[in-house]
Amino acid sequence: MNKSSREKILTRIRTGLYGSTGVHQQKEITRKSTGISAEPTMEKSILVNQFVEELTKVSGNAKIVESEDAVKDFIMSFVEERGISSFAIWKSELIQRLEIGDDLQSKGLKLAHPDKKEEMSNAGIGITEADFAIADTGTIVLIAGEKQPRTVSLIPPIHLAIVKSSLILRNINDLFAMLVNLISEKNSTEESTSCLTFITGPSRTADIELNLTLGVHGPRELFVLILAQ
Amino acid sequence: MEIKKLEFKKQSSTALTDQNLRKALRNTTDRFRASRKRAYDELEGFEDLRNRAREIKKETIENLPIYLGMLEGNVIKTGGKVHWAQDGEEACRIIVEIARENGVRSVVKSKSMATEEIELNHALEEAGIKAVETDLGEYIIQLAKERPSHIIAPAIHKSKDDISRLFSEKLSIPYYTEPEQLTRVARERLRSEFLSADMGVSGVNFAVAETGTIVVVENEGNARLSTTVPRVHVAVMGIEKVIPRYGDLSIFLPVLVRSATGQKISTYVSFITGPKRKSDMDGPEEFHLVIVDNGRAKILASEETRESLYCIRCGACLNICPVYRQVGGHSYGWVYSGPIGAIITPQLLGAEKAPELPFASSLCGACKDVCPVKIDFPKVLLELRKRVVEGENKDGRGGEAGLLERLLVRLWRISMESKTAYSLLSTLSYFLQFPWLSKNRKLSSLPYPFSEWTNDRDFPAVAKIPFRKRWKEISKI
Repeated sequence: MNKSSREKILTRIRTGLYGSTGVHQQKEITRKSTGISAEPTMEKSILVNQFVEELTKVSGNAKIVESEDAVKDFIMSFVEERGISSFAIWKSELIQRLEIGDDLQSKGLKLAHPDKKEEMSNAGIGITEADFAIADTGTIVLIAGEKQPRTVSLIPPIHLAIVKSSLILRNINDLFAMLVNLISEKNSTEESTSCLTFITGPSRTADIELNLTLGVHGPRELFVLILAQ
Repeated sequence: MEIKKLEFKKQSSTALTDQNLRKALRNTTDRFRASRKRAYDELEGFEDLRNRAREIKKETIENLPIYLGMLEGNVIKTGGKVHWAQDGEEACRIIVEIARENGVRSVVKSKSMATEEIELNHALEEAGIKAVETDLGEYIIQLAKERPSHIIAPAIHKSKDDISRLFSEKLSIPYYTEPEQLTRVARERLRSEFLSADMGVSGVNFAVAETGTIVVVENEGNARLSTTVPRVHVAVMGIEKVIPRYGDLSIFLPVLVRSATGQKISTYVSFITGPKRKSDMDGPEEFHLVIVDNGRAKILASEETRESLYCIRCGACLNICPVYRQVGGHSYGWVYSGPIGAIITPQLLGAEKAPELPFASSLCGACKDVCPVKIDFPKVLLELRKRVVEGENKDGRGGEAGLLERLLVRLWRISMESKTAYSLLSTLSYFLQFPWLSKNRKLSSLPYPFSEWTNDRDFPAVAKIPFRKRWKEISKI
C-alpha cells in the first residue's frame, strides 16, 4: 500500500512538472557552496567580544575565563552559591581532563545519568562543552554523540557550556563552511551525529500577548564560559 | 475529514465587529512588522539572500522527484524509516499505525502546520491515543479547542485575560494574571507529559536531501524535548519542505527567522539525522519521516501558481497584509491564513471549496515585498480569481460568474477598447449619477447590480471634466 502511494505521489509530481510523459532531463546536482564568500579572518578578541555582546542581548550570561583552572573554580563556586545538589555532564576531552564531574561528586553532588529520565528531571544543572560558537548571533553549537548526550543541555533548569575561544566563528556562513566538510566526511557513517543543535540564549516564549517569558520548556538560564586561548 | 465550503465574507464580517480581536491583531502584527523591518535593515545583503533562497526553491521544486528520492535514501541510510501519504487520512493512518506498533499511549507534539492540516490530533484521539500540544500557543489553542490564527503565534487572538480564564477553568488552578505564572503552569504540566510520552511528533522546517537531516526551528525547547525524550520520533512534512544541500541552510535559516520574528536566529535549531546512534545515551530509538502530498503535487501542474510551494511558512505576509490585520486568521476558515492562506487553501482544497479566498486581497502587493522567497502573490491571486470566475475548465464555462457579470465585463471591455465608446460612457455616467449623488460627492447607494459595490464602500463621483481632457491642458504647461 505504502509503496504504491510513493509511486503515485512521484508520478503526480512528474506529470505536473514535466507533462504527461513525465520525462525530465536530470540536471546535475551541484555541491557548490551557497554562502556568501568568506572574508579575511578577524582578530579573535573582536569575535569574543561580539559573542559576549550578542549572547547578553538574548538574556544569556557570558563570562571570559583565562585558564582551565578558572573554569573549574567558576563551576565549583557556582553550584555552591546556587545550592545545586544534582548535575548532568558531558564527557568531552576538556571536561574529563579537568575532572569536573569527579570533583562535583566528591563535593557531594549527585550525578544524573542521561539514560534515566527521572534522574535527569531532578538535575539542577547541565554542563556541556560547545563544539563551535557563532560570534555574530551569540550562538553555541552542540554536536550530540556518545559522550555528549542531548538532554544535558535541555532538561535541567540551568545550562552551563564551556567554549574555547578558538572555536568562535564569525557568522553562520563560516560555520556552515566548516560543517559541510565535517558532514560530508562522516555522512551516513556510524560516526555521523544524530543531532546537532544551535542554542542562542535561554528558552523563551512570546505566545501570551507577545510578552517575553524565559524558561518555558528548556533551561531558564544559560551560562557560557569562554576559555581564552 | 470532509471540509465544508469556506465562507470568508461571512466570517470576516463577524470578525470585524470584534474590537478585542482587532486590537490584539494590531498589536501583534505591528510588533512583528517592526521587528522584521529592523532585522531586515541591519543585515547587509538580505536582498541577495532572498534572491538566492528563491533560486534554490525554484531549483528544488523543478527537480522535486530527484531531491525527494535523495532525501528518502539518506534517511534510510541513517537508520530512519520513510512513509509516503497521498492525503491527510493516509498520513494519519500511517502515524496511528506507528503508534500502535509501539504500544504508544500518549504523544507529545511540537508545533507543526502540516499536522494541523491533516488533523492528526483528532485521528490519534479516535484511536484512543492521547495527543498533547506542547508549544505554549498551541497548548492554549488545544485547551480552547480552537484553530491557530497565525502561523508563528497561534494564540494571538486571545488576550491575557482570556488565557487566565481558560487555564483556571480547564486546569483547575487559581486565576493567574501574569504571563510568567501562566507559562510556569504550562511548563510544569507539560514536563510530566514529556517524560511519560512514548512518541513525539514534530513538523519539519527544512529537510536536507544530501544528508537526510530534518531541521526544526523553535524558541521554547518543546520541539527539542518532543524529538529527544520519547522513544519514537515521527516528523511530518509536506513534499515541498525538501532542500538540496546542507549548506543551503546558511541562507534559509537567517531568512526564515528574521522574516518570522525578527530574531537573528531562533533560540534553538535542531538538525536531526535519523534515530539515536547505538552508542548514544539518549534520543529516540526510532525515527520516522512522513512525506505528505495532500493536494500539493497537483499545484505543480500550473506554472502560474507553482511558486505557491516555495513558501517557508514565516508568517511575514500575514503581518503586513491590510486584510489579515483587520479580520484575523480564523476568517480564512482553514489552517492557513493571510495572503499565503488565500493562495494555498484554494489550491489544496480546490477552488470550489474556497471561492472567496483569492478575493480576500486588495492586490496591494505588500506580501510580495516582504516574502523571503519573493512569491508573486498578486500574480497567483489573479490566476486563482480567473479559475473561480471562469471555472477550472479551460473553456471558461462552469465558473461563478453570472450572466449579468459577464455582460457587464463585456461592456467594460468594449468601452475600454474604443475611444468613442469610452467618452460616450463616461459622459453618460456623469449625467446619470445625479439622482444618487450625495452631498459629499460620493455615490453611496447605487441600484442593483452596482449596489454590489456600494454596499461595502462608496464610489467616487464621476468628474465633469474627464482626466483625459484635463491631461491635455496640463501637458501644455
